[in-house]
Amino acid sequence: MPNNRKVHLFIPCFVDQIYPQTGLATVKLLRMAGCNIIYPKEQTCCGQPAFNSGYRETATNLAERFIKIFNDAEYIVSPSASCVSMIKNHYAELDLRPLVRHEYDNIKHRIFELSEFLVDELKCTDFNATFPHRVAYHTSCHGYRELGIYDQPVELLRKVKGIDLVEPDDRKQCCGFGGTFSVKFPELSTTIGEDKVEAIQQTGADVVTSTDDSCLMHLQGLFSRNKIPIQTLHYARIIAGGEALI
Amino acid sequence: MSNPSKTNDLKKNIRNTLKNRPDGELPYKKNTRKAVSKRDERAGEWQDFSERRAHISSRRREDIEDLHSLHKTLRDNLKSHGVIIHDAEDSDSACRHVLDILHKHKIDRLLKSKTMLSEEIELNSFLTEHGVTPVETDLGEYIVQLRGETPSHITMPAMHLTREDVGRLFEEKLHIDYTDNPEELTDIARNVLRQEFLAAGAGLCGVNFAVAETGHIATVTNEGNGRMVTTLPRVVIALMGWERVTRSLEDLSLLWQMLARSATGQKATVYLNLMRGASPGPSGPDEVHIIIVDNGRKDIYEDLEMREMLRCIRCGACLNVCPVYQQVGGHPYGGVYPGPMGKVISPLLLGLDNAPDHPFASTLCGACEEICPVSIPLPELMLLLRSRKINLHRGIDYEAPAWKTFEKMMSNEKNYNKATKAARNIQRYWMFGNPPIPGWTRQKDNPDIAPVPFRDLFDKIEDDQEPDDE
Ligand code: SF4
Repeated sequence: MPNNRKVHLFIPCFVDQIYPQTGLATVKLLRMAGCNIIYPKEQTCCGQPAFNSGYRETATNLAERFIKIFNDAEYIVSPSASCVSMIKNHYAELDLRPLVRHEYDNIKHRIFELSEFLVDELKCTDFNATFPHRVAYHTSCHGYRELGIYDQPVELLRKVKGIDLVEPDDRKQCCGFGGTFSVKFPELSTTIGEDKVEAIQQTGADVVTSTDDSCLMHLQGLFSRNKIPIQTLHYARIIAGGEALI
Repeated sequence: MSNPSKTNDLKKNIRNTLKNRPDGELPYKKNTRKAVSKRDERAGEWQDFSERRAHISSRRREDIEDLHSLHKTLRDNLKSHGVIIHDAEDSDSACRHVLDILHKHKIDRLLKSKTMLSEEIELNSFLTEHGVTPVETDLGEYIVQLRGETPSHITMPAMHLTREDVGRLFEEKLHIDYTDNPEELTDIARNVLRQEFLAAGAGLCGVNFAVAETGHIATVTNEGNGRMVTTLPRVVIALMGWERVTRSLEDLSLLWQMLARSATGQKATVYLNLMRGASPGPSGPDEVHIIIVDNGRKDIYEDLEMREMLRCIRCGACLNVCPVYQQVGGHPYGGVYPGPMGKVISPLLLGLDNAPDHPFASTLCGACEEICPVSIPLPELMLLLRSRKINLHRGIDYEAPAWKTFEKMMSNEKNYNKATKAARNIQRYWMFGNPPIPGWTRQKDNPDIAPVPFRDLFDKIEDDQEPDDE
């Protein structure tokens, strides 16, 4: 699948530190699709946690930093819908300096969540993966409502051999993570999460996947605390690694 | 029984509510989900739903942009129909207008149909203090009034109760045999209330919309009590929020259909009561008053970032779909308006200082904005309020230093590497499993920091990749 597109990779801070395998899977998929990858090492955090917590100055500084780093990118691709939406949608709500805003207007149409990029831009859907498990697809709110992502990851997953793809009831219902919300209102966040856990259990799945490792991190925390033998796995890992992963 | 929480300490109220939740199915969880699925079904019937929603949203946006001029037209039309207009700047003056009207007519019982605005201005307690008995005629309102509570929902006031709760309440307060049959319960309430209607000298209703071009005062109900409240008594008082003006009957019809679908999943509410001035004689009141209440609304209008909130038609759909509301119901919010719309409107009406946690009590999942019939970007408004709250408490904000550190760590690759390495070491040498993270590890396990971050792994695969690339 050669296409020779030059892709700047954005691996959000928590993916970098906690889920590097998701980053590796992203690299593998993009390379299989024939892309040339550029990974700017200066990148850190898009600023979403500060923005969602009301610290707009911090968020603005980090946003301006991000824009500078990715300024000359042809495409920016990231395996995290929530962070992509932060950049694509919420940077616009920040008080960026005029020059930076101009640069922002140039890059905001060039940033994609991984599945969006693979399916909509590159029309690559089959990565020849095998994964003989029942997998529950968890719809991430930011992916679904802020970016309109749903069909793309599902299409990618449907192409995986042996997979039994299911969805929990109330599939559009939030998992309760909400970033710093989960620390400010921990009991509430957990209670909402427990309903999601129950809905997932009812599907009989042994793996949950999503466009966002952040939702999955929250759910994994609940699974492991309650000794529920369900594993969370970013969809990129399923598609890139298939069976070898579990 | 009184409200579990009358304070605005949302964090504490939520914690207490979760701690004391009864086992078994929660009425607010069940009822909200039922309302959402009915709403979805109705919305699905309109193939052009999103176009209609966009159209109504833009009509409503125009209403709000033109509020001042619509008010002029409305006033002229109300006056020409003999409606007596009172302006109330705040709760107190609104309550006083009601009391003055009642005093003038020597009336000491006031029949009320459902109005959230009367809750907002705390009319009932004001009247009681001044020797007037307010009687709620909406079944849900009647139930919460009997319990000494406030409504837990803006369209379904008693939705936090099961029918067994209502049965026990009636048994205790009305001294009748216990029943939890909904029809019997409704009949019992109806019989009690009928007597009130016949004896009443004055009625008070809310106003869903006032139609500027025609001077109609529109009230939407499902029980018919609204109609009785505005036709049987000699004196009728309509209590209206300043923003509740729409331009034309055509717009009213659009709004009404959207309101019914969004609120209860009905095609239309059972009653749409259109009142136009007094009609002395057997069929209507001798005197119609309208009290137009500001109570902070004009400030919201002037606040350009927040003006969109005035579009709200109080359908309650955002409450029903909210993952937070579904878990805790309406009472923890403390004020009158719960759920997503309350998280925006309470800080605006009460002041951020009095509802500082409200905008933060959201996962920002966006379900509210998605369902809102007039497309209010509730998450965006919450985010703006969050930043206002941070600015308001600048200097006394205990979180601020942590965010400064965060910024420093994220503003520079070297700092980032140093900090993440330190975190990795803490985790490695922590003796008992994983180090605790406040607010996280009590109920769920925290994630492991990976032994090697992606940025280092990437170098390795880059090296492996090199020869093939040539
Ligand atoms: S904010 Fe929107 S959804 Fe919520 S009550 Fe108002 S109109 Fe209804």
